[in-house]
Amino acid sequence: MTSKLNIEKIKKIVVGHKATSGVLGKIVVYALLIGVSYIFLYPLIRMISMSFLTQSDLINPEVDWIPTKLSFANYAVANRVLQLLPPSLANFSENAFTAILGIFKDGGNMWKSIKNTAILAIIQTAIAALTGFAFARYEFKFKKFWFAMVLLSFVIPLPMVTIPRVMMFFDLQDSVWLPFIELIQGTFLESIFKPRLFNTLFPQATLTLFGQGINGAILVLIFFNFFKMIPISLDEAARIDGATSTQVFWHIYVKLVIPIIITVFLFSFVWNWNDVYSSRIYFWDKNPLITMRLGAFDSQFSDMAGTIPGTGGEARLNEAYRMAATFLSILPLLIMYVLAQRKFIEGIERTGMTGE
Amino acid sequence: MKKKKKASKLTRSSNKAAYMFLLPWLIGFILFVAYPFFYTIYLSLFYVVRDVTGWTYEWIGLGNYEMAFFRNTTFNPLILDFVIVELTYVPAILVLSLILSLLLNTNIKFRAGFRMIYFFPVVVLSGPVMTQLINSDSTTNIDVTEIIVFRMIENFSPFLADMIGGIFNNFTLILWFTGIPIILFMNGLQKMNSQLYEAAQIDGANSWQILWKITLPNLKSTALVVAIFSVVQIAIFQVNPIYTFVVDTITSNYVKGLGFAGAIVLIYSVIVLIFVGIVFILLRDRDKVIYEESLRERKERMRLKMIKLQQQRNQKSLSEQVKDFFKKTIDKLKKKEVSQDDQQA
Repeated sequence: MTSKLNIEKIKKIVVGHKATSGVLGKIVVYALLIGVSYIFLYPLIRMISMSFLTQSDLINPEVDWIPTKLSFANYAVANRVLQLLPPSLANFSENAFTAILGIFKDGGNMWKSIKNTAILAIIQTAIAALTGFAFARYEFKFKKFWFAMVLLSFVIPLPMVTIPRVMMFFDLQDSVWLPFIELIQGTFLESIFKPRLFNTLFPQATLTLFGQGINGAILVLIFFNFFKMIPISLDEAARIDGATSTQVFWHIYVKLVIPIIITVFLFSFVWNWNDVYSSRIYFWDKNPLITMRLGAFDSQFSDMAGTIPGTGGEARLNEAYRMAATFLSILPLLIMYVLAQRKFIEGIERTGMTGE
Repeated sequence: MKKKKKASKLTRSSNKAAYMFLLPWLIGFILFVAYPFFYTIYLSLFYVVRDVTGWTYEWIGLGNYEMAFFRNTTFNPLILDFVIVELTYVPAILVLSLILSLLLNTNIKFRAGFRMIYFFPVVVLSGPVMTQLINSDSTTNIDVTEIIVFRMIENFSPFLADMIGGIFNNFTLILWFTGIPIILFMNGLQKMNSQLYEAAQIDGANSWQILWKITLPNLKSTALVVAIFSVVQIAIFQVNPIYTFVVDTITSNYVKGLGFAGAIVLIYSVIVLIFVGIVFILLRDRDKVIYEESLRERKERMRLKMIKLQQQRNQKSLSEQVKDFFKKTIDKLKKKEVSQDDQQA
């Protein structure tokens, strides 16, 4: 009698009455989750490990993960090729004063990327907030139609609308911008404005300003759902006290939604940082964006090695340099993620894309 | 009358305010999405080049499409590759993210930690990063080509083997796409009505039955969102074979003309939209219909029940009537007896 009871008890503990409540089920779940985590992180770990390997370590069959000695030489090379730090810092020891002055002249690609991406992200966040607010708080004609269009603008593949956009910017450059440049020639303004619209941030900034930045629809959805959660009585109370629409938006909503603004900004920053497509199309080849530089890393490396491509320069290129460069290019994103990972996950949960 | 006027004025002013907030997006949509969308279709029928005087158009009808399909040797295989990538990646992403979210949704510790690991690729995922990782062999950690089952499949059908091999060779890439889907699925799971599970458990369903009969049908709408998102995301990703070709034709369009680029882009977009359509048809939410049907059934059942109840009530009254009838007859008989007695008297 007692032995039978014990067996049943043990069975209950091991198997459980639900699939995942017993010890056995738990072990399987943990094993799967940890195994998948390993595959998720494998490229990252491999990247970091490889970026420290020297040329001899790479060839050495005994070295797999841990380098024989710690050296940051690969990072130095990656930095030179990608021009991350201000280039004037290279001769810091010779002339410290001009080196520091040089920082203001040319801040290096890391600084420029962060600056450009932040500009785009700020514009995108502001426009997404306005659009999301309009959809969440107002009843107006054709609301459903426009909302469907927001979703549609996400589904339409970007290349489909790219060519006319490029043509429009060409037309703008020819018919508006060049006459303007001619007009201001000889004045002090000449040094401020560049004679071309391409190879600057202008096309991307314009698109973002009109709500067509990368993944703009998702950001609008995040704001839409968050604004809808705020009780409308707050809004009504303010209106009874005589506040205008703009005042309501600014004093009530914007101040309430600062956490969600940060979330959207982070997402926008990350997506703009990784948006190689728009950069390639509108910014062309002089883009300081590091992900773009990384795409041209191999050719840039062989150019800088001072040899004809395909002979010496490319031969000297190895995985360790590449991995160091890759790691540096995602480093700002990783830092952001580690600091604010909660916000990222909340942001996707807030899109409310499930259920609707 | 006065009230009505006031109301219409109010709505008009709210219309105005709403469109004021919407204006930047609205201009952007018309100028940069709606107009380009149709203009690309128009462009694809012309030979367009830019010279000193501006854009020159020359009508060539379907010439660009002819060039894309029949005279260009690289385009057709790329389309096929692209279709295969979408066909294999999207179901793989769906299944993997569903399994992972189900595992994460059980009663485990360190859930936040696991979720953080699974979400991090969303932040770093970009074309050049992925290309560099693949070039340096940092992504392949499973080699299936040596496994005997794979050899058997390869003998059976090289095409199928190619697809399966593609999944396993790019397993990390596929996993890295699941960051956002996992969060969406988990969100969908948590929103689900817990009473459904309890009811099923009381009825004696086991976990496996609950998974297939309750959890999965309820996740259909989430799966639709995830699938559309994945289709769109993969289409614009650099590792996708057609991406580089499309971008190169757009940026170096002066050689073959912008119209050719337009045709290429149009074909590519149509494929993507077809995939979105297929996904939509496959995963469309039919729950509402089922719900309505069940409602109708319930109504019908209720009606039948009511009829039965009424009948019961009628029966009751019938028996009472019978009783009354008996009572009356007995009374009458008694009365008759009394009257007979009187007469006898």
